[in-house]
Amino acid sequence: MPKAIVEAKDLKKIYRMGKVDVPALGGVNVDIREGEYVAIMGPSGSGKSTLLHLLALLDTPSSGRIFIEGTDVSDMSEDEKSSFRLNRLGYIFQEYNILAELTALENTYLPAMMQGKNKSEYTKLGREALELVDMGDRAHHLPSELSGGEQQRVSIARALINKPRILFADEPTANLDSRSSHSILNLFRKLNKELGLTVAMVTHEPEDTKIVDRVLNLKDGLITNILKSPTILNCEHCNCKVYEDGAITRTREGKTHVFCSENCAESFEAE
Amino acid sequence: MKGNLRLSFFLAVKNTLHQKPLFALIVLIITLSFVSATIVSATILGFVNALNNQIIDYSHGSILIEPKEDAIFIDDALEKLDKIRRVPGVIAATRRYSFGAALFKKDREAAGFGFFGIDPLEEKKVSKVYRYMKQGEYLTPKDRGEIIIGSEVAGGGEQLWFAEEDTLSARVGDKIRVSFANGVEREFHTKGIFNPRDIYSTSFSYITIQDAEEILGVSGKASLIAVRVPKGTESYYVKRFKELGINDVFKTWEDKLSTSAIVISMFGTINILLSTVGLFIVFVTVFVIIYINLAHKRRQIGILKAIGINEKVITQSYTIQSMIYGASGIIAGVILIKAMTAYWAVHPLNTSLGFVTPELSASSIIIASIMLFISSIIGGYIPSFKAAKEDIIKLIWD
Ligand SMILES: Nc1ncnc2c1ncn2[C@@H]1O[C@H](COP(=O)(O)OP(=O)(O)O)[C@@H](O)[C@H]1O
Ligand SMILES: [Mg+2]
Repeated sequence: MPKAIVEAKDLKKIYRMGKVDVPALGGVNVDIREGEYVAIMGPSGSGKSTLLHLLALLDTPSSGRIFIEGTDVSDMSEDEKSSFRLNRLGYIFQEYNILAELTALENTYLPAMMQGKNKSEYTKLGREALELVDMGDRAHHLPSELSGGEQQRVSIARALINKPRILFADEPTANLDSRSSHSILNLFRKLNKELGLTVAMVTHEPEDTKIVDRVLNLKDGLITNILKSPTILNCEHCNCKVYEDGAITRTREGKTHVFCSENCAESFEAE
Repeated sequence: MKGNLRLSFFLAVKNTLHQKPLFALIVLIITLSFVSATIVSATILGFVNALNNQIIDYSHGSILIEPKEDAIFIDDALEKLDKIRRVPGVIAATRRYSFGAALFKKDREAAGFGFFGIDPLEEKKVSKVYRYMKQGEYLTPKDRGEIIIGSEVAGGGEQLWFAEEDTLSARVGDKIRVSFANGVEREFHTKGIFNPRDIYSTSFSYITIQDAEEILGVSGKASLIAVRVPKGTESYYVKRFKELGINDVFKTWEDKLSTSAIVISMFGTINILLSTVGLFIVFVTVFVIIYINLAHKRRQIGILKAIGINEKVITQSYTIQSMIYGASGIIAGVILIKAMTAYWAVHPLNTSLGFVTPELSASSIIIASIMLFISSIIGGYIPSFKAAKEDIIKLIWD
C-alpha cells in the first residue's frame, strides 16, 4: 500500500460567530495516499471546504493534528506553513482566484518567483505549466481577456508550477459550463495518471466521482463513509445516480436490479 | 531575499499601473497636500523678502552711512561718495539730508516719518521710489521749492495706516507749508505724490538737495549716504569702505531690519505653526488614502498568502506601492509649486503690504518632501502589515 501523503487525526473546527459557536468539523480522520485521486463529497454546509482548508494549511484546526509526508504541521509557524504551501502544496479555488493585473504567464510564475528563481527559469517553468493546461497560446492575456474555464486553467498552472506533492481543489468546476468542467476534470485525471500527482478534490457532482479512486462522504462535519473505486449505477426506478456500494439491489428472475433507495426498490417490486 | 524584493517590486509596479485612474487620483491628492503644506511658508517667506526688498529699494539702500555719534553731518561727503562709487561692484551711491519737519496744508497738519533732501539723478539709481509716482512727477535737479510727498502723508485714499483726516489731503499743485526743526518755515509746491506700497517710504517727503542745503545753511555735507550693492555682498563692501578710510557709522539693510524684526519674527512663528499643522494634515491625508486603498486589496493579499507568498513580501510590496504614490506626489508637488512661484516671480501678488512673490526655501521643500515620504511609507506599511497577518480565509471570503 502506498504511504500516506496527508494524514489527519481527529480534526475539529469550530467557528466563532460573535457569541455563537458553529461546529464545522467534529473529529475527522482521513489519510490520503501517494498518487491517489480522492473526491470529497457531501451536502452543502457539511464541512467540505473547511476540511480542505485545514489539509491545505490555509486555516488552523481547533484541535487535532495534521501530518504531511510524515511531518507534523500542526504547530508550524506562519512562515513555515507559507513555505510549505509554496513548495509542496497546490490549491485551486472555486472562483478563479488569479490577479487581475497580471497576465496568464505572470500569474503562473508568481510562486516560482517567490522561490527566488531567476527570470529565465521562472519564465520557462511558467510556459511549461501553461502548456500543460493547454494555455500556451494565451500566455500574455490578462484575466479579463480569458473565459472562466481559461482562468481556472491559469490557476491550475499556477498551482502546478512548483511541482507540488499534492493538489487541492475546492469545487474547481462549480462556476464553469459543462464542457469546461469536463476538460478540467480530464486534466486532473491526466495529471494524476501521468505525473502521479496526488489530487484531493471537493465536488458535489456524483458524476465527477466516476474517475476518482476514493470518495470521502461528509455529513454534518463527520465522514460518514469512504467508498473505494466507486462505480456509479442508475436507479432502475427513478433513474437517478447511485454508487454501487450504496445501492439497493433486488433479484428477480435471476437478474440483479439496482435502486437508489428502499422506496424505489419497493415500488419496483410492486410493479 | 533578493528574489523576494524583486517580487515585491514586481507586484507593486503591476498594481500601480493596473489602476492608472486611481493612481492619478492618489497622486493628485498627495500633490495638492504637498502644495497646501508649503504654500503658506512660501507666502510668508515672500512677505519677509518683500519687506526686506522694500527696505533696500525704497528707503534704506543696501548700506546706509550715518554720521559718527557726536556729529550732525558726514563731512567731506562728496569726496567720500567719489571714493565709494569708484569701488568696483558698487551699483550707485547718493547723499541725503534728513530733517525733522511738520507739514501743513491750510488747516491740515501731518507729520511724516522722514523728510529728505535728495540728489534726484543719483537717488534714482539707489531708490526705486521714482517708479511709483501716483500723481505728478519725480524731482529733477533744477527744481526749487518743489516737494514730492508719500501717499501716507499726502492722503487720497490709498493709505495703509492713516485715516484721511490725519493726512494733508494734498494733490499735485497744492501749496504745502513746512516747518523745520531748526525754526525755518518754507512753502513748497507739490510736484508729485508717490506710493511704492511699502511700509516706510510712503510716509516720506522729498525736496531737492539745493533747497535742503539752503535751509540748513551747509554745503557738501550729508546726513546720510545710501549705497546700493548686490544683495548678499553688503558686509564685504562695508569692509572695503572702512579700508578706504571712511570712518562713519555703517548700517546694512539687515541692521535696519531690527525695527521690523518683530514683524518678521512674528511671521516666523506663524510660519512654523501653520507649516506644522499643514504637514500634519498632509500626514493624515496620505495615511488615510493609502489605508483606504489597501482595504480593497484584502482578497488579493489572501490569494497571495494562499499560494505561499510570505507576509514579508506582501508587506514590502504594498509599502513599495505607497512609496511610489508618495514619490510621484512629491515630484508632481515640487513641479507644481515651482511653477507657481515662477509665475508669481513675474506676476507678484498685489497685497496691501506691497508686491509679494511667494518663494520656497530649499529647506521647506525638503522638510515637506521627507514628511510626505515618511507618511506614505507608514501609510503603506501599517495596514499591509496588519492585513498580511490576518487569516487567509478571512481575507479571501469576508
Ligand atoms: N468563516 C466561517 N465562519 C463561520 N461559519 C463558517 C465559516 N465557514 C464555514 N462556516 C460554517 O461551517 C459549516 C461548514 O461549512 P463549509 O466547510 O463551507 O461547508 P461546505 O464546503 O461543505 O459547503 C457551515 O455550517 C458553514 O456555515
Ligand atoms: Mg464549500
